[in-house]
Amino acid sequence: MNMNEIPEALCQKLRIKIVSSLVSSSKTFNELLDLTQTTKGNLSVQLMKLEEWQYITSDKIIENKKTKTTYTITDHGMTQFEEYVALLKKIIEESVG
Amino acid sequence: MNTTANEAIENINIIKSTMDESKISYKGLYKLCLTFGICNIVLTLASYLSVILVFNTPVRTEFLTFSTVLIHILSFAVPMSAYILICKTEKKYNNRFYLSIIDTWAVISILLPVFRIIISLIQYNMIDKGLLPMTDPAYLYLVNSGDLSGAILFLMIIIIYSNISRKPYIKIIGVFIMFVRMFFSMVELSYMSGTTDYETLMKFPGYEVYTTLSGIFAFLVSGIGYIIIGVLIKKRVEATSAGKES
Repeated sequence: MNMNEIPEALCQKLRIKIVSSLVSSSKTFNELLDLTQTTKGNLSVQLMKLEEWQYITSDKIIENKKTKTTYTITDHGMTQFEEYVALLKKIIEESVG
Repeated sequence: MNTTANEAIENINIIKSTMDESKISYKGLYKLCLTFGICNIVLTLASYLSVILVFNTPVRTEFLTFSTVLIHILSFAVPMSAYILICKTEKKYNNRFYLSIIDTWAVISILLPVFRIIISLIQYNMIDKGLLPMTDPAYLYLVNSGDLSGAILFLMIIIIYSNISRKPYIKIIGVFIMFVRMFFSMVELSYMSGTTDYETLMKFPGYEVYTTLSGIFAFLVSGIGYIIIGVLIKKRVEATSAGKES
């Protein structure tokens, strides 16, 4: 990945936060809401986009008569994220000299 | 998109802080361990103290009943209160694996004292009054199950710590501790800590005057052992969040 190839999924800070928080483990909607400190509407839109781009998958379960959605990062999402972090590292190293 | 070095640093910082925040803190787990360990030490010492004090009080029976009931109530009320308080703060993490660890461990640690209360009630109401022999298989089964549950509960927390710290050999130490505890239970070495005076013992049936080696070992494990595990989990969590993961 180079600077011109940064995918749209990782061009927005909230989406970067979502993907970063899913690296360690799957998270529920409420958990992501707590971690990203954004609105429900905004989070829903970004999650839908990430799912469309196949960066994450969602899994709905019914718990105590309530629907609980769990989000997990896909292999594709993980690869793209790792390449993105490597690119950021390279940019910083080059700027330092 | 033209990503400048400043933007790169900013994005790296976002990634780092989000990943740090999304890690499981295990705060609830080490708080439970510390609470359980301190509670076990205080209550065991309190029960020994009541044994000493009972001979120096004019209202022996009342004192013994009061202290026994109080110790039994506190032995499950303290872990249960700690569990309820800890769960309130930990529920937001929603990590089913982590929450199931806390739930399983806390439920057993709360049920165990309740189990011991049932054993004490049987002992007080049936064994001491001669309605049931001390060697009754059902009673012995209950006593052994209580001991075994305590040992398994401690083994469980050692296995959890082994997984958190990624040190598999700690599991072997846990199994070894469990075997030592079982061995001590079998050999039943004991020393006298009260009186062997028959008349006194007749007045206070079921009154413990002997301390077994397995009892001392169980006290060390269920008191100091839990505190050590709690401190180790806390240190591990702090090291991980400071980026010193080994």
